Amino acid sequence: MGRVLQPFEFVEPSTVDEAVGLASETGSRLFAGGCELVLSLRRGVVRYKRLVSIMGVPGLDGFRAHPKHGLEFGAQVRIRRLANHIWVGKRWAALHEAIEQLHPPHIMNMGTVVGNVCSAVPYYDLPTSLYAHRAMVRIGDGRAGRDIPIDDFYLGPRLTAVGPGEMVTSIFVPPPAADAGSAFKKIYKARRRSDDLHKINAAAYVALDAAKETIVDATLVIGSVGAMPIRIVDAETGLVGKAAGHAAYEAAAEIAAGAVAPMTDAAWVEEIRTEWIRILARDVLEQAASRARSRHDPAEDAHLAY
Amino acid sequence: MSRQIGTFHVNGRVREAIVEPQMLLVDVIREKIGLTGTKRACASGNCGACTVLVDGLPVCSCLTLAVTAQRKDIRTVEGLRRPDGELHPLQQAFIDHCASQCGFCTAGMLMSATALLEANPRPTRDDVNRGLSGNICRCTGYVKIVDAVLDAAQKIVAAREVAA
Amino acid sequence: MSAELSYVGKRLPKPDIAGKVTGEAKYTEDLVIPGMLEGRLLRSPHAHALIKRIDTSKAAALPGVVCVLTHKDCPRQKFSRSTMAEALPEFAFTGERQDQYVLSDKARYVGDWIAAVAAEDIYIAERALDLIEVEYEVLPSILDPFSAMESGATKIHDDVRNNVAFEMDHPFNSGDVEKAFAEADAVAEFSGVNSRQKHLHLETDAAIAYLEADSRLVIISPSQGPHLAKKHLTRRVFTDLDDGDIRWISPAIGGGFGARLALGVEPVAVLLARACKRPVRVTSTREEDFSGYSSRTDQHQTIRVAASRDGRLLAIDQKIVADSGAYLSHSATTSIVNMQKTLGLLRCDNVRGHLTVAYTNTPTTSGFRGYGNPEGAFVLQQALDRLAEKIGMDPMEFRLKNLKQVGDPSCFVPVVLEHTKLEDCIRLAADRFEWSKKWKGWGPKQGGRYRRGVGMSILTHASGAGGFLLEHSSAVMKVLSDGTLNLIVSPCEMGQGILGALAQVGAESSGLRYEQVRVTTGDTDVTLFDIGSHASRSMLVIGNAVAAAGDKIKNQIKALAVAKFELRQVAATAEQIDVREGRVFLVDNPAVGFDIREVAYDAIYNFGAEGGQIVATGSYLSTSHHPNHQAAFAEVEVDTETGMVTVEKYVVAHDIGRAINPLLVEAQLEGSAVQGIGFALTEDFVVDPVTGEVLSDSLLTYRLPTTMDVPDMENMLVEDPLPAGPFGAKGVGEAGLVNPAPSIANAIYDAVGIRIHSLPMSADKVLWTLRHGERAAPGSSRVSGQTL
Repeated sequence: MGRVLQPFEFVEPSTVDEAVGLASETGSRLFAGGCELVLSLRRGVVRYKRLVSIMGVPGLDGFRAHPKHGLEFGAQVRIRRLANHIWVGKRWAALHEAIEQLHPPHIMNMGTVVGNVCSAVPYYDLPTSLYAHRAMVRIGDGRAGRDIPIDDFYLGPRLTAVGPGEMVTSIFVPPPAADAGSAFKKIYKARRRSDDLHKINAAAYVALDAAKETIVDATLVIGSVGAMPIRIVDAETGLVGKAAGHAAYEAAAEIAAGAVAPMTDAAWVEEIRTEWIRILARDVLEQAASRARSRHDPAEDAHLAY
Repeated sequence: MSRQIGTFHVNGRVREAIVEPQMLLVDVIREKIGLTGTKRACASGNCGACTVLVDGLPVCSCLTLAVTAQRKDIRTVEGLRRPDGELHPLQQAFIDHCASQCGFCTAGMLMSATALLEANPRPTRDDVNRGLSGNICRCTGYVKIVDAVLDAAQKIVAAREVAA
Repeated sequence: MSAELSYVGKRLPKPDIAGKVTGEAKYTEDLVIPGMLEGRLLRSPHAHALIKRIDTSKAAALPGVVCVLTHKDCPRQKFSRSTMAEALPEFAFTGERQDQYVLSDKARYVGDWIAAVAAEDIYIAERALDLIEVEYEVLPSILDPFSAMESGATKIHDDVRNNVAFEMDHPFNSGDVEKAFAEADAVAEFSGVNSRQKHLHLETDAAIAYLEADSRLVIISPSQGPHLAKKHLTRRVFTDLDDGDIRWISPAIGGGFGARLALGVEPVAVLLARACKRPVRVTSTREEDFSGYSSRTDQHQTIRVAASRDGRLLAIDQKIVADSGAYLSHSATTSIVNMQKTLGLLRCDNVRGHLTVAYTNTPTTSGFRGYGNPEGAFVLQQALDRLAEKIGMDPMEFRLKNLKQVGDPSCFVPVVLEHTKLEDCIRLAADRFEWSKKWKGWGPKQGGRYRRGVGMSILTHASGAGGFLLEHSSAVMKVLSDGTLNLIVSPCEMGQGILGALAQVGAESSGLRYEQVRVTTGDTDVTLFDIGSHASRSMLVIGNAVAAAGDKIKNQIKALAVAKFELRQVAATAEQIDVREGRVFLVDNPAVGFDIREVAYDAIYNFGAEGGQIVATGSYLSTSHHPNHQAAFAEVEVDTETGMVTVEKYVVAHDIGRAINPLLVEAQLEGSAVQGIGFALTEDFVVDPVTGEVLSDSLLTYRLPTTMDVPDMENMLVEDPLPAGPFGAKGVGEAGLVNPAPSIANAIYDAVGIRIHSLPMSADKVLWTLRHGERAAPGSSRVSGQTL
């Protein structure tokens, strides 16, 4: 833990190939916006001899947000770009809400979405929302690439599926169905034990049939309750075919509450965590469904965040 | 690339400083360029005291490597005054409303407020609350800060209308 | 009278604010002394451990390292981070145990200072810390005061039995408490504990020390009381030095709130500077401030109260067990003050208080704005509500019925209460809040997820601690040739606006222009002795000294003006002349007069004139605590599904005597109220119950209020001049932090029928209590055997 960072080398390669090559050496690390990395370096959580900035590599600044074709952004795209985009707000509301509630808002101007995802910090909000949207992470080595679902991206705390000689070049978020909505919420809490975290977040995506009565597809994600966000698959399966209403959300929320493993040995902390997960799960499902039904501008609901 | 002469465009002037990759923008601004108005308070991107504008947007200079801010347009609290020395309307409003107590958050507050008013010249109270939500003030309870920003907004708009 | 005042009562800009909005104000870390080294501290990773061996050789060998010091290099004198020992009378002095060395010979908390390094730059200094090898023998650690006092518990300090750092009965115990309880119609009890609220001054702990050419030691640091700190340091630590050997400069301070009343890294800077013979700056990180600086003392309390059927308060009994952390610092004195304010707030013949302070292996706690009062109010005001409920009385009526009146014994020191407007405060705030409409009586309220409730709280607080502390202060005024008033005063400006208020008093009393007041402060070589800015004392004590100096200046000007009028062929005696807003004029014919400049210039630059520059000193000794009072009403909304509490409305009326500058008074009230709301709801200082590490070591995990958390607030002033105050003023700095937690707690009870027994009343505790009831509430307070 220092007041300053200890010396390292900082290189700015101009191709993906070069960047991943430099980063694959021991003690090296890819660097984008740097918010998380700079903090972790100062706090002594990590130590690197070399940071390899990808911010000068051509071709990583792509951005496309289309309601029918999906959302795609390169590794250099800062969070602000998504925050300001009307289609992100309208079609990927969970992601939009997670961005809107970033604290401090400065982070939007500094950090990249890909960097936020690659940091693999257990309590970050954007990954949880991207799970709900079933994002695909594009991993490349400068020559070829592979797409993996974000559900398979995290292997542990600060550990991802990106191999040596690889990097995440972009993230693709598929377009939602016509009558679909999504939502994100979080609750700040005190950190009660060393293995506890200071918040819980949740995101959901709900698609309805043409009559807007029946749930045809859903995702439900709880984050900041372990090394990585958790898809509550049983709850999702259970929701499909159900009438979109309180009973369905309550049932799904009950499953979510039961699906998350305890983080501490303090019974009361766990009881409250479980209860909050239930409330969050129910509320994000309800709000996602309500948006699916009305498809109104989710920005209007920003004040409903806790 | 280790020790190098960095080029920084601060408050409209080109400044050079010997920097190393690990140096934070806040430290370079304060200790190499000598503009100590920008404060380091949490060094974790949680309090906003170190806010400077980079290409017009508020960033935490405590989480920014100085080398990455080279040749970008950096604005600090020292650059708010007009060239003739007259205070920026926000600065004057902070004085009029007693919106600064210990003053440690003030530079960051002013920079966030500057960016807010440049993007939204006629903010509501709620807009200001939102725009300053990333800046912690331990002294004022925020009321007078928000009052000051709303007052400055009005005066800036009024002056612009007179000029037009 | 106020119509005659030029500056007092006006909303004028304070003199130090211009530098703060331009970035020109200089704080400790903004200053550079040529040749300055960077100092850093190595802190213990263990809560309790013996130091078996320290090897500094590798660190010392690192190029750029100038010196590495450990406990072996420290003076063998013990001191306290609190400097109050030098300002307290004997009866309270035992609460100021001198119990630590600058660098510790044993680790007593995670973060304890083990070694110090000075190096050519900060990067080298931090690398050197990594190279210091320390071999620890880990001891069992004690993390709560109740385990600490169990027999057989590991000793934290060898010379302290059962880890009991301090124990005392309330000095003003009176009546027969047991008899009163036995005979009362109703008895109520409440137990609770406050949290270790962090001061969270944005400027982290820092100090610069260097030797001047004449080998005099200069210390630059954000101290709230440099004169006292200087005396303390020379008397307790560096005993080869004396008062005259140190010059202490306290520049702009990035927030204090009581933290700067305890020493920070200053002794380390001195130690390093003397060892290196070079200027040294010691700095800290926010994380280190969280674990190693100071916080409010957690005081576990049980308060029992008794009343007659008609609502007369018959007895109060308070028991406190305080957790000082590893070293005592201010913990004992804040707990004493808690008893004084808590037991002395209302009229009551039978009072009893008992206090025990225990050492634990947790960070040292200290004094924080309010100094015991917020801690006590949280428990007392809930006990009072419980009692009011038992006798079926409106809580406001119950309090009104038991207020102290002028002539009653006061609370803080054994003096008579000379002035109180608490009743006016209650009525004014209640009216604005619409208490009579919003208060729906005791008993269950409406259902639903979101429930609203209202609550109230009242307080008495000191304006200085005359009779308890060394309460004297002096000010110097000199008039420059252009009519500028150079006011030299000793408060430390940490944001509270005191320099502005004193400048207004100075301009008003001397008759000079406010715009031409130049205030000099913060340098012990220039300012006169004063115990520093705390205890809401500066306005009353220093303000009176300034007013006294101003009167003298005005008289000198009048005397000099007689000759000036003569030159104008006007015969006037000094009594017929007045000075105001920089102009000298005839009382009977104000049109006849001239600018002060004429007198001021001639006093210095007229070779023929007698005498010299217009200069005066003023002194004041306060013998009472001149209480200020406040009433507050809160309305909250409780989300019964998440446990989250939102403050919707907060109305305050404060008994200010007279507001020298209403803008500054409001600023104090607003700021302290929001600190109080953080204290009440979100600011949660958590120490890991196993390792003793601070888990809330960043602003991510320790949540301060932001712009989004400020309720609809109204702060009103009740102005009725205090005869002893400068222009009638009382203090206001601390009071606002006292009422939020208890009024919000009472409002939560009104909304959902539960009381939260430990601060903050965070959502998890509220939700737990809603689900399981109060008896099973989580927490760790055990006073009178009750688990919270």
